This record gives sequence, C-alpha cells and structure tokens, in this order.
Amino acid sequence: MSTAAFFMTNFGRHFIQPTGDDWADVGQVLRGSYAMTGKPSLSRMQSGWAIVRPGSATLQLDLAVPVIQKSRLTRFEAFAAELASWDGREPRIFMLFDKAPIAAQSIFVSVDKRLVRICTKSGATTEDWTVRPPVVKGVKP
Amino acid sequence: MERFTIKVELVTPAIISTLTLDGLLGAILFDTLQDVDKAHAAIPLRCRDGLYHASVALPVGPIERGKHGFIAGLRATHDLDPDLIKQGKNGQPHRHIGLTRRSDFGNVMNGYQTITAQAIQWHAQGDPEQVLELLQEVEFIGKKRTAGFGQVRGWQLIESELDGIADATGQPLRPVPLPMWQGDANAVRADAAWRPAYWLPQHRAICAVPQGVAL
Repeated sequence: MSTAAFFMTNFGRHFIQPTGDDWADVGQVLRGSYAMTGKPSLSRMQSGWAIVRPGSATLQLDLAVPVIQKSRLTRFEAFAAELASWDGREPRIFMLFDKAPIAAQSIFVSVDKRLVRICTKSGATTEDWTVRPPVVKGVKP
Repeated sequence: MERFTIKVELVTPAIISTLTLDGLLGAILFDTLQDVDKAHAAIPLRCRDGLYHASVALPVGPIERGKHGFIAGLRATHDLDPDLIKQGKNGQPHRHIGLTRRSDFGNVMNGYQTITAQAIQWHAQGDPEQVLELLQEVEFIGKKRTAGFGQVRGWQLIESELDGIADATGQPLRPVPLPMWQGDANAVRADAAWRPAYWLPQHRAICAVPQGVAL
C-alpha cells in the first residue's frame, strides 16, 4: 500500500470523500477546515499532532471526527509513548501541525525505529530512536 | 555492462542528500533533451524493472557537516507575472506590488545542510565511458550551484566490483524497494523514492536504504 493510500485509509477518509487520486486527497485533507467538537466554528489542522496507525489514528486537536481518537498529551509525550510501544515494523505516520499546512509530499510513513520520519510544514525530519539524544550544552540531564 | 566507480573531487562544500548517480545523469540529460521520459530512457546505466544500478552519493574520507541559510526576497522592481499571484474573487491579485508595500511579500529563509568532503563517489553498473562523457562538462553538483556550492575540480573513473545496489557486506548502496531487495534482511527500512523523478511522491515505496544517509 502506498503512503498516500495508507494515509487516506486510516486517517484522511474520515475527513473527506476520497476521489481516488490519493496524493491529491492527502493535500486536500491537510489543507481543509473541519468542525470542532461542541463549537460552531471550523478549524484547520494548524496546531498539535497526529499519529496514524494501521486501523486507527490519534489526533490532539479536538475536531468533530468521532472515529479518530483524541489525546491531550503533548507532542513529546505522545511520540515518545508511541515509539516506546511500537514494534518498529507496522507503519506509522507522525505529524506535527503548524500554521502553514503540511504539504502532501512531506507525508512519509515510518517503518523502522532507526529511521523515524516526523512530518512537518517544513518537510520531514529524520530521527534514530535507537540512539540516545545528543548532550546539549547548558541543559541538565 | 561494466561495474565502475565515479569519483568527483570537490573544491567547495556541497549541498546534497541522497543524489543517486542516475538522478544526476537524468538531470544532465534533461537539460539537453527537455523531456523527462526521454532523459530517463537515455541514462547509460543498467536498469532492472525501473531500478537503476547506481548508488547514492558517498563522501570519501572525513566529512564535516554544516548548515547554511539563504534568504529569498521578492524585489518589487523586478517584473512579476500577475498570473503567478493568487487571484481574488474578482480575478485580480489580492495585493499590488509596489515599492512601498514590498514588505507585504516578506522574505523567506531556507536552511540547507552542507557537506565538506575532499571527494564524493558513486558505484554503478553501465557504460562508464558514456557516463564520464556526460559528467565531464559538469562544474557544479547539488543544490545552490549558482551560489558556488558543490564546485567540481575533476571527475575520475575507477574500476569496481560493486554493482551500485549493495556493498560487499550486503548493505544497500541506494534505496531499493523491499520486494526487489536481496541483501541484508536487517537493513534500515524507509519510505523513500527509488526511481527518477525522485521528487515525485508516486515514485516512493518502502525501501532498504543506506544507513546514515540523510533522506
């Protein structure tokens, strides 16, 4: 299954009606505005985070899409918990939202703990979850 | 189809990430042919089911990684086609560009990772003479060439035992889709473009990828 098909099957189809052009649909989902739970206003995915798994997804932003799990964890807590419990083989998509939407071509699945992609508005960053983070000067452990 | 290594000596730091040899040759051929499909068909390398036998760029010797930022600004005194500006409901651009309002079109800063190395090499399988002929005229490689990055001192052809797909220990030398991968089963896996045009997300798949290469 392609990255775009995985995104639409497990996340995107809950927001829009898929057209069959998976990559165009991914862009549409990420740019779209959606109703928030208990509020009349619409909101884009412009803050927080999301994790997409086979058969489920979790979103921090409280959008009125009941199928998708909601979480109040911070991005660091959520990603750390997911990576700690992940077998490192089943695909995951890690997304960080910001004011500008994530471009469709910046959506990557992660399938290896040694090469975890975090999808952001500026592209996808790459992290190795199997090595300790570098020591930063001035920060107490 | 011979196995060979192409080595390029660098004069200045380069801005390159994976940069496979087929991607580099495809870009050179596109400049001449102006047709993506014809350019890819003319790449003088062995290609099996769309997979070119050509490694990613591999730095030779000690390398130093750095960062470089560029600021792109829109200068109002330059001609700009109104078709490039988002249109309003009435079919007019949202804003007119004037010298007094150029700040409305704020500067954009882009950061790049640089590599300082004595040389970079690629392992490949194909027609080495044709490959060298295409590369001889190339004076800069990678991104931001017009700013002086990736300046080339010279190209060198070396005999090799590697086929551009896997190294002697069975590790991948380039992104290879898992169904086509026959090397180390424990190789690092990633969602990566495996055939040109590498910028097209449709050309991505779950691949075995070289460890330590920034994708």
